[in-house]
Amino acid sequence: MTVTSFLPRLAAAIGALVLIASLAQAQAPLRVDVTEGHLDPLPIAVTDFVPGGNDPREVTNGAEIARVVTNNLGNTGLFAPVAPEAFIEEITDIDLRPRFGDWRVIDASALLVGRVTIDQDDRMVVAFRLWDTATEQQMLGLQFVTSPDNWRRIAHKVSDAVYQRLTGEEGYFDTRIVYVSEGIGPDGEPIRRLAAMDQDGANPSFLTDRSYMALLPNYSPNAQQITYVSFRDGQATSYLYDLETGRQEALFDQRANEGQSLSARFHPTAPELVVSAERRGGHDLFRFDLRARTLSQLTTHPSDDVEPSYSPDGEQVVFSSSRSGQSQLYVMNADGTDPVRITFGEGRYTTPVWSPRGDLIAFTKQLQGRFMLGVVAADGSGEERILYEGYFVDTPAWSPNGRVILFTRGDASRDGTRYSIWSVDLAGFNLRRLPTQGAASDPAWSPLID
Amino acid sequence: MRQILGVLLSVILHAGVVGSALVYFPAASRLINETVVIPVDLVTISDINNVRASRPEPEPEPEPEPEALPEEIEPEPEPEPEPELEAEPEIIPPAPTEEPEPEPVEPEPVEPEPDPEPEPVEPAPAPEPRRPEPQRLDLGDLSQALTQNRARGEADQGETRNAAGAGTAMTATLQSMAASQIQRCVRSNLDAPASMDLAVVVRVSLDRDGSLASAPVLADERRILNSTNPFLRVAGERALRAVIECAPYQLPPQNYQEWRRLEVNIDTQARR
Repeated sequence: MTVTSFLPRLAAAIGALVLIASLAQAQAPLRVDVTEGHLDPLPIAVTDFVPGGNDPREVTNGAEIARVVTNNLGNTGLFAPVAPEAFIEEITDIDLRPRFGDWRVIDASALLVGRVTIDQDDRMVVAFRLWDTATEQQMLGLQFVTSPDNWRRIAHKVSDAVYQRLTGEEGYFDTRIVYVSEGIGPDGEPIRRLAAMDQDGANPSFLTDRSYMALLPNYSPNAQQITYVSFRDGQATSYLYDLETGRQEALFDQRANEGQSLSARFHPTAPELVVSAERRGGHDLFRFDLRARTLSQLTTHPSDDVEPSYSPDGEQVVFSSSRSGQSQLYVMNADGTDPVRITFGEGRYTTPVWSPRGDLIAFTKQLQGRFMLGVVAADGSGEERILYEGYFVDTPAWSPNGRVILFTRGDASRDGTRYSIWSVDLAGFNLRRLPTQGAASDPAWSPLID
Repeated sequence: MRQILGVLLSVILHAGVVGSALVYFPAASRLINETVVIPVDLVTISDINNVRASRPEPEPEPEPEPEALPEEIEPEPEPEPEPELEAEPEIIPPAPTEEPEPEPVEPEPVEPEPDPEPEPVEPAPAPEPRRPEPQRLDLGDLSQALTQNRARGEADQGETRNAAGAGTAMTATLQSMAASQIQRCVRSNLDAPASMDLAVVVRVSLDRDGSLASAPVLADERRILNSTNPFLRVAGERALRAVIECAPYQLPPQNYQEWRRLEVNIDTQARR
């Protein structure tokens, strides 16, 4: 290499170095790492949906929808609805940009506005917009068409849409809950009837009468059917109940089988159930083919295997078994192979239910006279997390999005244990009583209805 | 020849070293900044300098104190005169009121109860902002809205005092000061599934009083906000909202050149 060719290159290299250095000096932003955040509820303002025409029902429905949406969002514990008295701007037209400053001043991070229009054909159009008051962006704009008396379901659908947009996960408002309504008959005998209601307690109704006891309902993946344990035939038997037609049928022929069958659960996609039934003095797990009406045995262990629940992909089943002495939780393949124990703590582990998200299994545990509701990773890794502890806890049921658990809670009272249904979120917060009429137990949460 | 080469090389290398050192040592420019910056009156500025967000980044020059000042004191070149929000509501093109798609409205027979089925009708298209460019912040409104929240700054002031003398530790201190202030407004993503990577980076430009000089921007914004993973999209939006809601930031004015631009890396799942 000659000097003449070398020098310019060197000079260029140094020049580039200096240039880069100066650019870096001038432009390097300060790097800030934020690894923690808060879990405070998001303040949201929900305004009464404005009337789009002259039908007086537009005003009442608009106010009712806002009320139901506010209630839904507030009950999740993830949102803090701003009191309407604080509102500064009066929304009159949802197609105008809101005055965002007016909403930021009252600390509303999100703003929901909507409009109800009922046309001559008696069709109701509910349109709404969700705004981010900080970025001043519209986050969502949707409308639903329905009949005017269907405003409540629309309110739930609006709630679901807002919830999903702001949290990233599916909502659970347009859902139903089936549960056991607990009562006492004239002679002091317990009465247990299936009842159903909207997720927020509206539209309650009974599904079964007082003539026999009903327990442990579970929803089918399409929300059209439930299984439950009926004492219609004298002993506990799994029944299939069609919610649309009201038709019921026993899953097994009682005369052909010797013992009781309990708590059937639906496969998430295939037309089959997994159920525990009593054979030769012990409980084992079976798969029941809903088309062929055939039963195939999954477990044969001499100890009792009960309370099966499918994973959301249908590949595995979690169940409780006393095969190691005290009742513990096991996961096996859906064909019954490779059972693996996933809980090892002290106490009796029962009622496992697989989360719809797939990552967790909810359970109840009995230890030293106390009852606990907990979750554990489905693969048994990690610590179990106790979400609630009390006098009596039973029958966990997941919300369809897997972030809330309903459970039966018993509290000691003068005349025996008093049952009610409560909800708690995955972090163990936001403990709330489900608004059932009277004492209740054994909740089952439907998937989203669509 | 060899000698000449040696001398030349030596001269060039020395010049290069000296030259790069001049530009590179941050202390040099900071000294200048400090002397010039001190007289700025922060109190009066805050009312005036709510510059429109759409203004392009000021040049990345290190020197320009003289011109920076006037610009902040007189609110002259509002880049785009936006109408007062209060005055005239902007009209958004109305959502198409009839269902744009044929399918949605008709009832399906699945309902268990006698309810007619609400069909989600097509997303009313987002009302276009009147202007073509992306919506920008109105910092006037924002600072108004947030002045109440400024009260919570005690801890930060303490840090400022401790750090005032230590030039070398300053960057770390600035980072933690900024992080602690932003953190207050960040909604954690701990409730998202554990396996997801929801880290996002927000680029922030600040004015000398700690308010936002322009709307914060997500690095890789298009990928995040259009992600098919709704949790990631929400994480991005939460990050933007947090940075906006926690402004203005209380950072030592003498170090403005260091925190004028922030790159905020938000990953609330990092610790689990």
